[in-house]
Parts: sequence; C-alpha cells; structure tokens
Amino acid sequence: MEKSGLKKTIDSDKKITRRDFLDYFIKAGFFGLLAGMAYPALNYLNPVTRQGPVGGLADVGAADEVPLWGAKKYIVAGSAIMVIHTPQGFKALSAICTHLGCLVGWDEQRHEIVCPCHAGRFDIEGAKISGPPPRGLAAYHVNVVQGRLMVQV
Amino acid sequence: MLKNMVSRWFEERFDVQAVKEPLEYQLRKPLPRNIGWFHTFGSMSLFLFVSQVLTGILLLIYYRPTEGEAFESVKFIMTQPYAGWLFRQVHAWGANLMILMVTIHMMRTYVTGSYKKPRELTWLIGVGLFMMTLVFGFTGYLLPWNQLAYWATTVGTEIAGAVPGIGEFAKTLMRGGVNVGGETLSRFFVLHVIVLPWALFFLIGFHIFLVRFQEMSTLDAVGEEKKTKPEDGIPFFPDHLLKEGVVFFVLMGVLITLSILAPFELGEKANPLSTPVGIKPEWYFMPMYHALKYFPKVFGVLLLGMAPLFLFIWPFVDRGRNRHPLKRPVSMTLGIITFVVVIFLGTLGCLSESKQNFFGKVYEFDIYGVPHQVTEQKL
Amino acid sequence: MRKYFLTFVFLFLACHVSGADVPPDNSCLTCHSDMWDDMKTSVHSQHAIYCNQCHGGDPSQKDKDLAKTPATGYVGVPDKKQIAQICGGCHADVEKMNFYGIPTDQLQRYKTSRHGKELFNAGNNKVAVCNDCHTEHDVVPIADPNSPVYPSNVPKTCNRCHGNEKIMTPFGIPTDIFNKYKGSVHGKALFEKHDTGVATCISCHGSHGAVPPGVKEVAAACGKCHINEKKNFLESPHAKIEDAAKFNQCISCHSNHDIQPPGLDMYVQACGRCHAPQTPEFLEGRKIWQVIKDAQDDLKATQGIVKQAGIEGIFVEEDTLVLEEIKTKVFEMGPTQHTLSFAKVNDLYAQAEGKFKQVRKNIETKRDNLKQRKLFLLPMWLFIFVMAVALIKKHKQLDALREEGKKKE
Repeated sequence: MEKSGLKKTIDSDKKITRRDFLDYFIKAGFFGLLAGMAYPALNYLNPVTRQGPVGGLADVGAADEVPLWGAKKYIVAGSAIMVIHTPQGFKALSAICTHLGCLVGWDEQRHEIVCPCHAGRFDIEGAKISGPPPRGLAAYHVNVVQGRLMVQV
Repeated sequence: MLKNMVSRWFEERFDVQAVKEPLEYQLRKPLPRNIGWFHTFGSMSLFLFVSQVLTGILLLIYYRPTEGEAFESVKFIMTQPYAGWLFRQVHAWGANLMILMVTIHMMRTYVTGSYKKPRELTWLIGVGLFMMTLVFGFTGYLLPWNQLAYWATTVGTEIAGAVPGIGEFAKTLMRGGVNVGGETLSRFFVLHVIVLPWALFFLIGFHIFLVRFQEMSTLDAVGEEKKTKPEDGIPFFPDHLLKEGVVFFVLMGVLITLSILAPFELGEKANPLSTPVGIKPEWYFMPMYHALKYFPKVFGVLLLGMAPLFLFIWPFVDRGRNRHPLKRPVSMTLGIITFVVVIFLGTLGCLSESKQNFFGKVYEFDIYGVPHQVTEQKL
Repeated sequence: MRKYFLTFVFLFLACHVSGADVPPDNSCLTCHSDMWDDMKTSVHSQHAIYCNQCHGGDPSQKDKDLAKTPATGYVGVPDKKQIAQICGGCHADVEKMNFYGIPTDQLQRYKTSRHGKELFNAGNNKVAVCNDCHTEHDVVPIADPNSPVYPSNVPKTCNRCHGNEKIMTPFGIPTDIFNKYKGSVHGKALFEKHDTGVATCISCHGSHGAVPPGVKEVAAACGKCHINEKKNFLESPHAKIEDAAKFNQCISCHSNHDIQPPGLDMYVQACGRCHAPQTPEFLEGRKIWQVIKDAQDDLKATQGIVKQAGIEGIFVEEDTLVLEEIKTKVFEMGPTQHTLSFAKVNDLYAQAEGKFKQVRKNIETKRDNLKQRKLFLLPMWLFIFVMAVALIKKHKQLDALREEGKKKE
C-alpha cells in the first residue's frame, strides 16, 4: 500500500516541488524495507534440509550408508531407530530397549541386537531372545526410494 | 517511455479517466483537522492484519494440521528453515498486538463518539471485527498443539458447554467429538486459515468503504457536522499517509523487538493424559475467564454472553447528539468504569493461583484472586 | 430374538466341539456326571483320555460292582504317590508324549525335588504332587492363561500351600513369601505391568525339580536373566567367598523375595553390614558410589537442560540422541559396578562425561546464537528512527508548502 502510494508521490511531486533529497531518501528507504522483508521470506521457502517436518514417511539417510549386515542409528520423530541391512533388505526397529530405555547396539558376529545395559538380546525382527526386556522392539516399515531410506513413522 | 506505452495500451481499451478521477479524489480527500496520531489505530490494526496474512501464508508452507504432526511441524518451523522462528514469533506477537490495537481503536471510537449517527453501521461491523479477531486468537492458539494450547482449548470449549440448551451441542460441534483432539485441530485450522481470513477481509473492506464514504467523524454534534473544505483539511495523501508511515515503522519495530526479546516458547507436545498446573487463557480472555469464577456457571456464561450484545446495541441506546467526550458525562463514566473493571478483573485473573512478591512480602493469590500473605518459613 | 438365537447356536456349537465326544457306553458318568462337568473342557478329554485311564475300572460294564472289580485295575481315589506314578505313566513315556512335543522328564525331576524326596523317601503325604499345581480333572495346557501354572498364576498357586501356616510350620518354611514377592520389582512387573517374562517362583526354584538354590547357585539362578550382572559379579572379590553365613552372592545385597529396584542407597545400606566404616574396602565402595552418583546427577541435570532448551524452541534433535547414548552409559554403570572395580566404573563415567560436556556446550552455543539475534535490533531501530525522522520532515515540508499556498491566495 505504502509502496504504490509513494510512487505517486514521486510522480505528482514532480509538478509541485523540486525532486529533493528527502523524496529520494524516503523512496530508497521503502524499497530497502521491501527487500529486507522479501529476502528472509524467499530464503525461508528455499528448503534448507532435504527433510521436511517429520511425519508419515521420513527420509533418514542414504541406503549405502549402511553396509551389508551392518546397522546405523537415526533420530526420527524424536526417538531413536536402528536400520539394519540384511541380504533380504533393510529392517528398521526402535533402538530403545523395552527394559529401561537404553540405546541398543548391533552385534555383527551373532546378527542380533544387544542392549549394553542389561544384556537383553533381540533378533533381527525385534523379537526378544533373552534377558530382562519385557517385550520385543517395535518395528517400522522401511523402503528404499532412489537410494534413500524412507521410514514410515 | 515504457510507462507511456503501458498507459496508452490501457487508455486504448479502458476508460481510465473515469476510474482515475474518483480514486484520485479519494486519495487527496481532505481530512478534518482533528485527525491525528489517535486516528492511526485503525490503520495499525489493518497493517497487523496484513502482516498476519503474510506471515500466516509463510507458516502454512510448513505447518501440518494433524494431531501427530502439528507440534513437530511448528518445531520444524522454529528450528530449521531460515528465519522460520521470526515468522512464527511475528505471527504470534502480531496476533496479540492486533487484538490490542483493535481494542484501542474501539475505545478511541467510543471516546470521540464516532459511532453515532450516521455511522452506526460502521460501529456494528467494527464490533463484529473485534469478535472475529478474538475468535482468530482462540483458534490460532490451538494450532501449535502444545500442552498450554491443548488445555486452554479444553477449558475454553468447556465454558461454551455451560450455555444452557445449546451448550452441549456447541461444545461437541467445536471439538468435533467428546474431547479436544485431531478433529478439533482440523476444525480450528479451517476456521483460522480459510473462513475467518476471508470473512475479515470482506468486512474490513466494507468497514473502510464506509469510513471513506461517510467522511471522517469530527467532534461536532450529530446534525451539525460540516463538510471539510479542501483548504481547511489535511489531504489524506500524502500528508496523513506520512504520519501512518511513521506509525507503521514504529509498530514493525515493536513487533520484531518483542519477537526477539520475548519469544513465545514452543512448549511441550500436547498430552491428553496429563493436565499441567495453572491453566490460564491468553490475556485477552482473562477478564472474562476471571469474572466467570464469581458466578454460578450458567448464570456467568449468560451474563458474559450479554457483553457483546451490549456493544452491538450501544449506538442505538446512546442517542445523545453530543460527540465531545466532556459533553457526555454518563457515557464517559460508564466507559471508564467498564475499562477499570475489565483491567482489574484481568489483573486479578493473571495473579490468581500464583505467588507474588510485593515490597518484600510474599502473597499467595487464591483462585478468586484474593491475596493471602505468606509468612516466610525460615529453614 | 436374533441375539438369543445366536447365543443358542453358539452354545450348541461349543457343546458339540468340546463336550459331546463322550463315549456312549461310559458307565462312570451314570453316577459321576459332576466330574464330567470339570473334565469335559480339559486337554485330556479333548484327546479322548477318560476316567479309566487314571482311575482304572471298566466303563463298558453297566453294573457298578462289575465295573470296579480288581481285574479291571480299579484304583478309585489315588493317593499322592499313586498320582505321581499315574501321571508319569504317560507323561514320562517318550513314545506317548513325542507326538505332543511335551518333555518327559517331569517325574524324574519331581523325584529330585524337595516335594518328591519328602513323598518318596520320607513317605510324607503333606507335599505337593502333580494335581496340587495342575489340578486334576480340568487340566488345561500351561500356555492357557486360565492354567494355574500360567506365569501370572504361578505365585498364587505356590502360595496355596506356601502361604498356609499349618502346612509350612512342620517344615520351618516362612509363609510371607507371596506378600514379599508381590511388592518386589518382579512381582510388580508381573501383576501390575502384566509382563509374563518376568521371574516368578519357578524361575529361580525350578518347577518340577523345585529346590531352593544353594549358595553357589544363586548367581546362576539370577544370572539366567541378569546376564551382565552375573558375568561382572563373578569377576568381583565377593564371588570367591564360599561361606554362606558371611556372604550369599546376589542375596546379600539385594535380598531374595522382596527384591527392590536397585539404587545408590544400596551402597549405604549393604556395604556397612559387613564392612566397618573407614576400612579400605568401605572407602573403595564409597568411591564407586560417588562416581555413580555424579554420573546420575549429571544425567539428570543435562536432561533438564536439553528439555528446557526444547521447550524454548531450540533445535535439540542431535543432542537428544547423544543424551540417549549418555543415558545408556550411565545405566551400564549399574551392571558394571558388580565387578567392584572402580577403574571400570570410572571408565564409563569418563566416556559419559565427555558427552555431557559436548551436549551442554552445544546447547550453550545454540542459546548464544539466539542472543545474537538481539544485535539485529540496533541497526533496525536506527533505520526506523531515520525513516521516521525523514517522514516527519517531509510532513512538515508539505505543511509549510500548504501554508505558503494559502498565503499566496
């Protein structure tokens, strides 16, 4: 509103007064302000991360980050998950032990998930094998789309 | 050169002069001499509305109105994209300032008696705009889906449920179910981003049209108003607009300063299973909320329901011809009493159920805002 | 109407499936039809095992006396010893049980148990035998939640006798075990959280071969689930003590039936029972106590810092993951301190401490970055001030022009 009004000032003032320094200054000020507003807005629209707000399918990382029979932990929607690469494909499980909430680790030799705190063991489906955990680990659906690991949250 | 070409292109197709002249007339229309800084609150409200629309559009880019994602997406906006935090803070502070500005604008109108004939309709629409701004605040408050939002909405809709007869129906309609949940979020979202903005847009348009069409009110009594002559008045453009420009800059500065120095917290995600202590509504609902505590539920809700009605019918009740505040002792006394009571209730509401330190003594305010001195326990 | 009809159909089907397979010529039921009510839903009747398989007799005889002649192998009501033998007749027979995939060592084990020894060696009839736990006529598979030996029912089942003072006094066994168990960490997990994987009576004492674990076996019994704790404990100087009166492995610190979630307080309570204050051992214990306490306090404080930062709207996603790692390290200190090695516990603390500092520094840096936003305010207000002055100046200029114009007129 101010902007278009100002243009008219400049136009009509031509006839009435001299184009003085003040007019130029005000004009420049408003354009500067407009640019100052547009700049952060445009930057805001430019996606800074490959990942939007979490929910639904979350892109957690590149599939080749996880070697065969290896595992990697990610934070998705505020909780830790572990992605395991098996010859049958990727598996995504909650990385929070159901016993007391420790972060579980991956035992590469035995192909099992093991909790370092109280030695709870889980198989690659997340089912409890031994130790104090009351339940198995929750499983998430994971897909590989164009080389990216997509986890259904 | 280019400008001439463009204007010629238009002139060949449209009767530009016929449009230009009334516009020019409106633009240069002289305003009465008494129009000054106090008459900028309305345009400040308008500026804040525009700011809300623009920042709202930006927030909508990343916001997701579902139970599972709302909080996360607001968290995302506040932490990830460039200046996302600024847009959210400006939007949140803008809402508060807008309600403040609309209220002050209404108070100014009351004091200068501008609601009197022939401008009753402008006042009516203004009251409608004020109500809708409050509903804007109420619906927007829920959208970040944090604990405070969730429980304030639960309490707020509960109050609506106390209205006899239709209360239960209204409550369920607002909540979209028995409890506040994902359905409520959807409803509030639709109201907040589609229904209210457009309704407000058209009403503001009509409001401004009436203001321009009926000329600005002066302090002259009803029926004695004189049309401002061009040589006596101040042209709206450029003179008055320059004043508006100053106000606009200061307001923008205040908005950004508040956003940076007193940011709104993100809070904790809404948890229907745990009620946080000391749930209170936003300040603009505080006087009403606190007043409700003193009355039996049904009676209180009915009594407070009368308040908007009272505002609506006021121009038809106060039929005195004088506009100058000093010539309207009854209206002014009534206005001042209302103002003091509202401020007093609001303050008590803020203080209730809290501990405050005055002059080195600790007072505990109970639910009715009555202070009790706490004798300090020495350990 | 429809509802009644459906109920009727359902009842009819239910009868048909579970109870209608009575041999038409089973004369036992002429008199003992009440037994059949218990029996018909049992796992045995479903596999066509009826009265005479346990009680002997000839159900094809219509005459009561003919059906119970000695030639028919009639037993009647079996005594305790007989019960063990009768059940064992099938359940210890590999050939018979093979088909059902049920182990066949129950009778063998029973004979090694305190119950079995009392019965077979001492001839004491006041002990539990098969049916005391499994019931007799309405036996259901142990996986059935209605079974008295389903995990969540085991404590109550044992308590039927072990909570009875009359039965227990001759053996000198206390009767408050069930109540102690109910309040223990295991009991709460079983009864309140419905965790059927948790330790019940039989997890430590065994079921058919029920005996209290001996001194050397305590760690083995607990270690079935608490693997890390057992491994670490066996490294500790305490593991070498063989005199149960002095030290009884896990039990000495944790007690047995009313075991509580372990905490730091245990160092205060348990160590002092054997070690006098200011002895080197006691002081070593204090050192371990101190380092665990420090770690737990740091964890709590850091969690608070991260949570507050999150509430303020600071990005704490990465810090949350590090915090989870720290939490794991702090929790690991619990099992590790069973080695009673200060060095090992302190090593975990050192690992956690590095990350504590990292998280706190991260949060501080982020908060400092937020403070830098304030620096933007200065140029902004300068700009606003300059613009306001310019606009007001322009306004005055226009005012002056207008006055001039008026004068000219």
